[in-house]
Amino acid sequence: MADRKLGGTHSNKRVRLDVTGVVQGVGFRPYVFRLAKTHKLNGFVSNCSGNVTIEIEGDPYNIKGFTMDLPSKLKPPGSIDRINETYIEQIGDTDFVIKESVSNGKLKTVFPADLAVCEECLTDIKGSTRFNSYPLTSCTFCGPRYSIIRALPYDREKTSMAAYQLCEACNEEYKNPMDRRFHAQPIACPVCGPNVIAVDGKGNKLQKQWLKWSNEIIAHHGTIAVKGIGGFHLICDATKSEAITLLRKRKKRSRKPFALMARDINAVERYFEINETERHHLKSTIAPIVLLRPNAYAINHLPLHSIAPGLQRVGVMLPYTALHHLLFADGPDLLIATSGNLSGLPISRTNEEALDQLKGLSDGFLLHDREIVTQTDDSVTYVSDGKLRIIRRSRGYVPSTIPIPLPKDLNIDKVPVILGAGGDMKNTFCVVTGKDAVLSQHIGDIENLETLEAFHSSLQHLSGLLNAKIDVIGFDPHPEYMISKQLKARKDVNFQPIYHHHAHMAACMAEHQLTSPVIACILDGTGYGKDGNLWGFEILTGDYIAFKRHIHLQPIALPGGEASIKNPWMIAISLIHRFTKDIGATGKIVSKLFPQYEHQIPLVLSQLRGSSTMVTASSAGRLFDGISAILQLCTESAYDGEAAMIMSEKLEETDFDPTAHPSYTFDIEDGVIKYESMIEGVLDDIDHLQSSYTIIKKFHQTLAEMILKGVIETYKQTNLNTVVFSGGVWNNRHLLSCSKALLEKEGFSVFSHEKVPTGDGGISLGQAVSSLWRWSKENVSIHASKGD
Amino acid sequence: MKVLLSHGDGGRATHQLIKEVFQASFNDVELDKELDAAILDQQGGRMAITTDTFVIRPLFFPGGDIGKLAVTGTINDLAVSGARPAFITVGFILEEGLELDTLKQIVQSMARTAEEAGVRIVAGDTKVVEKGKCDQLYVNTTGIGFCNEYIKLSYQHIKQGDRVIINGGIAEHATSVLAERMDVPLSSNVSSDCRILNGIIDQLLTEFHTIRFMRDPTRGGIATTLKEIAEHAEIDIWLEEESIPILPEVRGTLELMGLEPYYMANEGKVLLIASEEESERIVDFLKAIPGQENASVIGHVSNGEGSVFLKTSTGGTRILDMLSGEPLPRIC
Ligand SMILES: [Fe+3]
Ligand SMILES: [Mg+2]
Ligand SMILES: [Zn+2]
Ligand SMILES: [Zn+2]
Repeated sequence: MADRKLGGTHSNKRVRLDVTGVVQGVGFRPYVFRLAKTHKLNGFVSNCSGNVTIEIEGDPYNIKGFTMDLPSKLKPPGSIDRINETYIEQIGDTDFVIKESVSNGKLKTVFPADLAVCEECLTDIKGSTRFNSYPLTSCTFCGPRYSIIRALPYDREKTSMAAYQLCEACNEEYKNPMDRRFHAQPIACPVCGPNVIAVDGKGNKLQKQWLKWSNEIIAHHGTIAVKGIGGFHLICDATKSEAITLLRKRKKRSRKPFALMARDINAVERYFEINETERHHLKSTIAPIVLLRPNAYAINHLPLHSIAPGLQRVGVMLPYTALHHLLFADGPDLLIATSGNLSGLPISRTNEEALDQLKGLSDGFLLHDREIVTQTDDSVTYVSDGKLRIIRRSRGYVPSTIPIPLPKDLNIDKVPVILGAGGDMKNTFCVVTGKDAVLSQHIGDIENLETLEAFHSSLQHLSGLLNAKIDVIGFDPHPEYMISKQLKARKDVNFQPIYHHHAHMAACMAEHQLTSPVIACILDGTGYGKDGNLWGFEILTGDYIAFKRHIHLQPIALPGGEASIKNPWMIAISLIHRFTKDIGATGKIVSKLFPQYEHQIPLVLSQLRGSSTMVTASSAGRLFDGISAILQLCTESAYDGEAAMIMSEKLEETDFDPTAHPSYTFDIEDGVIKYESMIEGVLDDIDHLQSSYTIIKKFHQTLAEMILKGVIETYKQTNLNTVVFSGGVWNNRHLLSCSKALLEKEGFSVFSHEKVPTGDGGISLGQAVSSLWRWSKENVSIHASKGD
Repeated sequence: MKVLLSHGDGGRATHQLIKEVFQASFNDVELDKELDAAILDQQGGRMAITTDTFVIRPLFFPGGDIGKLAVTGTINDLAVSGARPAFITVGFILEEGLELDTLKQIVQSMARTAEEAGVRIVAGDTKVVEKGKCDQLYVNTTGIGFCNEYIKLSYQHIKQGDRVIINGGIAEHATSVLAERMDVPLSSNVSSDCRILNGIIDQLLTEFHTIRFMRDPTRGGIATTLKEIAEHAEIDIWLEEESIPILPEVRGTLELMGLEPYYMANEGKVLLIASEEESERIVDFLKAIPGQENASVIGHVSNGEGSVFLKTSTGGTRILDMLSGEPLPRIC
């Protein structure tokens, strides 16, 4: 026993380290334990309300070694943002211990995201331990987290693993600080844990070798519904077009692309062109879907037209549970792994839901009894400009926090709890407590009661976990948004209407921690504007509190409203009519262009003639739709954004030089971008048999120049030179890199989304941050910049 | 010949108009008496009265005209209330310059419809306004009917488990009127469903005894009508998209105009709420009647708080609310 009064040659010291970062649910405390033992230090480590506190005592030299190793030896997904070091009085501990979690209701608690299965666990399932072939294995470095948590702090009793009593062997490992499964809450083995249950297409339980049975179904072009981490996948052979065609028919999904799951990174490389950044993200513990370009081999050997009709890139992910890995043992290199739901409905959560919803869609089910508490779809990403872009931020990312900028004079303890409600399309919501935002998983399009209920229950769950009572709600004032309508019925809440495009702008500002006014180029499909019309090609200026509209696209008439959005050929007619300004002339052009719509055209022309009132949209998305239809690339849209994607994906990244191509002419008059002459140019090029490839390039170039000219004009009025890009259209990587290059050449600093989706999945962040700044302007006297 | 201002001054021209156009067509002894009011014999049962004004453009459309519509609408309102329509009054506002032949056609159409329904047109009025003060012709009809004592239709009788029945395809009236107005040709099988229902309803009420309630889904369509029923009865209504009869061309045309068939007017349809036990037999009974072949059970009633839900063909559930002005797209 050390004699604390006498001390050693170097007198011992005691240090307290407060660590923030990704430090919970990722095996951080056992890691600290092992590190302390290595450095012969005593003391403790404990989870305290989201942070980890370490106190170590011993030789100063050892302490130094420990503090140097702490960040550098940590394995992902763990990561440290900040360590606060304080020397404190010695106590004279004689051992190093892991203290039980301290929950403090008042302070914020973070909780971990779901993690892909780790290498060690994969070795286990191939080896001779009791985990051999165990499809639900996990350890402190991997496995489900967010999807199984009912309440906090994150302990086994508060997860859906509470139903499983640990066997002796598991208990040993759970209690042994030196073991990889020390305090791994989802730990389980074939003796004590849940097991895979095979159920046939009619719902009968089978007592079969499930792996062999399911592989046979897949080999015979059938589909299996497989329970994963945050939901179910429908899985079939991705190398056989018959299998995919059958699945498309059953799922009533004509053209929307399917995601693939590849056996391993080698299989990915066999079929896809892949760079280091893409490889890194594919293999990360988040294991998102990454859009990749098929290589020549894939073009010859894969039914790409069935997997992703008309698109140049395919979504690919790696297996992220042991069960997925086992499926590949005797299966093909690539499987279709699409979310197991009926179109438009939330992904199935319980076994019963899956059996009920998916029974007509799959020939068999691989289920298990580990309950999914929270559904999370697979996340979807791609790499452009060397950066990861997130199209759908869900499994693996949620509930990781996003730090947000706070008004200077705001006392951090006085920050109200804020909800950004999100939009009705691609909904996510966002809860802000303190200086962090938590974005929810992807909820989806609120087009039915089921998704609306998913929104409410997810909101209840997440705010419960955060122990957050909502004080302020930022919502989209679109009069038809169901979420906005329902939330507004709440009592005792402060409401902040945040216009759609302002929310987009604020989201991009927030993730880059921008606090001074910016110029915002917001290009998207549909958002409710201040003037009661739909917007979507807007150059705004402003800050979190207010915004002003400087430049916008000349509004496009939408015959039939939503009908136009689903039928880009109707937009094409509208654009052509804007150019000809004459029904007869328009009729002549479009009856030649769209003989297939001979019978419907009069109905559209009649609306354009003004025989009924019409919705208009100053939307870039609609411009893409219309041009795509004029070029016959996509006249009817089978899913959101199809027409734009089909068109822009025709371009090659390599041959897109922002300055070299000729563009179409356009005018900006009184802040309105007039596109008549561009339509004239496109029609002229078609008449002169220019290739659609050339026309598409010129069109993109023209759009980039509209943005450049609009931004310069805005700069002249405001002197602002920071530009943010937001809105779903910025998922178009060609437009993004071209516009960015043009603006940067003129000396603007340009920011685009990297942490949240540029589409409507990101607006909840903007709503929340905007609301926070507005709330504090109303409630704390701070100096806000002007707006209109 | 055209309608002149003097046709409305109460003088000779007015009398001539009444005689030649109205009396000639309507041909009712009460009208012929030219008294200030029709004096009618008392009939048994409780009395039902309804009134409605018609301003539809165009005056003539596939399947009907404003006159037929004006008589049909009033007769059907009485019939779905459980009353036997007996008398109708008509009031016209005519624009100076209207073709007399047009007026005659409309009046004759009213007379035919009333006769077919077994209803007498017993009183009327005509005013002529200066050109531009009204659009060709407006007409008001008031109807009187009588209820059998034993027929008691009421929101309060609607119960959990009851079925919702419709006697045929929806949105046909609105679609053909819109197409006519927009000068868009539709194929010949789409026309207004404008049709008197008192005969059919009379048979139904005699034959079946668990019909709880009826409404004709005119303006606002089946969605608005059912929403009103759900709210008053304090129940929920669940509709099955796939069982709601609708002609493909009607659906296609409305879609391109951004309109929802559930909110579009019908003029020969009745929504019946009846017990589950009788519902299939009611549908079979209707189907045997010419023109009612597409009758169908389209939904059911559950306990609730006044919502109307639509189970879509893809398996989701939509909320059918009252229509709020011009629908602004949400999708992107
Ligand atoms: Fe948007
Ligand atoms: Mg009426
Ligand atoms: Zn592991
Ligand atoms: Zn075990």
